[in-house]
Amino acid sequence: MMMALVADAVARAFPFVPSLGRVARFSLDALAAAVTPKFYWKTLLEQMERMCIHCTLPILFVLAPMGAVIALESVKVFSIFGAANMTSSLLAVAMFREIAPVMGGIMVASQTGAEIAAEIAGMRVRGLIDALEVMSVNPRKAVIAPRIVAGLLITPVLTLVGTFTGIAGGYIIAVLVKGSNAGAFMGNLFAWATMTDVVGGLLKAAVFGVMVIVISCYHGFYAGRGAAGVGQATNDSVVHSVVSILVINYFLTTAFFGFDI
Amino acid sequence: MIEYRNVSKSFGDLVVLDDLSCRIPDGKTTMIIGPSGTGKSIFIKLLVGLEKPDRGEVVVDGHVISTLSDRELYEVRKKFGVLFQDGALFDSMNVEENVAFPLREHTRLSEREIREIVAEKLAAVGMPQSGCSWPNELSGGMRKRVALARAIVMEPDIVVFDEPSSALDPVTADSIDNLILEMQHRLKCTFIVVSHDIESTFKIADYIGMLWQGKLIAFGTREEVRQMPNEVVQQFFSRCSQGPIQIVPPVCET
Amino acid sequence: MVIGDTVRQGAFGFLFSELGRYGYFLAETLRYLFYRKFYLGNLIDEMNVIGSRSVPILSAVSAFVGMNLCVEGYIIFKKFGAQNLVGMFVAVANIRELSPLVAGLIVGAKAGTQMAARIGTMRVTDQIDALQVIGVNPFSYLVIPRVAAAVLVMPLVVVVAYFFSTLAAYMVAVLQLGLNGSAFLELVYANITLEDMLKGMVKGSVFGGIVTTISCYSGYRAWGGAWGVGVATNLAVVRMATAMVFFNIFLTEVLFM
Repeated sequence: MMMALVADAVARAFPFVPSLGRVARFSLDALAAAVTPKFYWKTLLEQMERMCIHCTLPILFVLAPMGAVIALESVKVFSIFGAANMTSSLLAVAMFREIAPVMGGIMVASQTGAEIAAEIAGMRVRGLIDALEVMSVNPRKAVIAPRIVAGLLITPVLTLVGTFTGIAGGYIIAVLVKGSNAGAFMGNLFAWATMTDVVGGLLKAAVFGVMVIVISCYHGFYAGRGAAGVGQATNDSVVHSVVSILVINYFLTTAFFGFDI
Repeated sequence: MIEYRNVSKSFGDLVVLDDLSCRIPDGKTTMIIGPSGTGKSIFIKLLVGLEKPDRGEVVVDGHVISTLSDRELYEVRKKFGVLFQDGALFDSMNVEENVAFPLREHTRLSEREIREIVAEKLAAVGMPQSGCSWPNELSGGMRKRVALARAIVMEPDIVVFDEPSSALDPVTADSIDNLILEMQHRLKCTFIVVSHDIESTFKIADYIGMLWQGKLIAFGTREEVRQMPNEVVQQFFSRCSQGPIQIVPPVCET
Repeated sequence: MVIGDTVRQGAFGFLFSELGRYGYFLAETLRYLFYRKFYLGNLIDEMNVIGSRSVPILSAVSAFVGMNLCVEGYIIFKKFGAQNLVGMFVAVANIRELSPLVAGLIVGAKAGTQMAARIGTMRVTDQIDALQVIGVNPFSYLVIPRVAAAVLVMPLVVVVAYFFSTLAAYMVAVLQLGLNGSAFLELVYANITLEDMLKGMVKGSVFGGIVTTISCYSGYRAWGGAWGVGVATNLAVVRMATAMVFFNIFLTEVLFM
């Protein structure tokens, strides 16, 4: 009785708590579906291909300006200390560790995540999910598991591409626009970055990728009725993905890079 | 007085209306019928100025719709009430607010007067006590009734119906037909109904026009069109799949 | 439609024709801002939506962004043995770049996609046509209140984001990194200038305008039932994120350089 009351009060005050439980249940189901036969290899390849094709341009378009802004700000700050050469060192570290995984994750969320949420919500609304169940095809295996695995594998790749785009964007601003020395820029590029930064950034990206796809599939899978339901699912998936990325990122930073604090 | 003068409209390569001319009589119910995809919806959109014709003009009471400025167009549109296919009720407003919306926008009536008018119109369409329900709680037939109440709330001269009986069960469809008949009798204004429902056509139409391949192949009173020897018209009325109207499935290029 | 167009015109042709239509949409919005009736009630509703729906999430998210910024800043400054100066880094990076960007992202993700979805739903269920037939201009009724609300509210939203991220950074500095709390705060105070603050707010305002016009545009041109609403919402997010970071370079260059 008491427990039920407390649970009710918590659910009222924080409406996301019950849905957290549902998300956890959904993720476990999807995980189980992904590791037990049968696995839909062909769908996985299609999804990987689609993710690459649809996400690459957005990621390039977002990360190049981000690198440019970091270079713009840090050229100015470092010039004050007479350490303009360190612009590229800072840029590389910031890109590998933070900007590329986070912005890459956000762009995967807004492109592929929203697309998957809309697609699966559309399947739900048009009765395709039920049709799969009736034909005794498990939609968690056929639809969701391949997408999650694709997110796990492709997001780090996209992030790596994004990292170098960001550095290129920084190069354009620092060297071509602000007139820093090109040799010093390239020479100091990897002065600070270590293998830990690279691997840590890619691990972050993989975590974000899985998280985003699970959230999007969840919202699509439990979409409401009609056009409004599809819009709501897409909206929720983007909000929850972006928020989770930015929140989890702090813990991942502390876990991967915080050992020498 | 509504007149279409040599109206043509196409989207890319697809010709939807081709040199169409007709006069729609005042104070009567005119049904525009035809198979799916023959430009029935465009016929309406041209009339209310949501689309512009490529050639020709649509004239309503001496106003050429496609040449009006925005301000004039919004004035002329006050003559119209339009019932959209699924009602197009604003889902952020409840039934009463939906029906009251045109009044709140265009008149300076007091809240009490608006409430009275809304209650009267809702009663007229057979939904007297449902002002506080929300559009997503209503069935398809009820949404159309509310949409009709919203369409007639400004006392328009012309009421346009886009597929009033589509996606309704036969009993509800018949009740909507009866409602249209009753409203026509009461309001005495021009009704234009776009439909492909033959039974309701014979029930409510005074005049019938048939669209096929972008042209108006038949136009006249109900009996004239019914007796017309044209084989397209007769195929459509007899609900027969053999004849000039054919469904052509797309052919994939390999 | 979107996919078909892309195939027919190629990606770049599609990009330019979309940019042209977006420009036309902006021009129409501006025209009706002065031309027809202004819906003050809708403006207040939309301000309320942005404020009450986005700000709680935004406060939480900016707190985590501030915490992360503080940890990263500490790690980098430690390379020079200047870890005590991290307060300066937090104060400046936050107000100039991170707070406006995070505020724009979250308001875009929450309120912006909702606008795209709502206007898209209204489009595919004929509600926008119904508005026009009733004689209400959809730009005046739907678009302008949303854009104006974002432009007016975003500066305040940026300040809220700034406050929470700085507060969280302070807590991380003291509790996790073991820095001197009062020294940290002194550095923060010393490095916030009113000028930077106002410029950060201007950035936020511009981002608000970008986010809402893109969302409304994407929803307004939605097409093809429930599927079309999903596509519109998806396009809205990608376009707004891209446009925001792109304009961010110019804003930084113009405002802070």
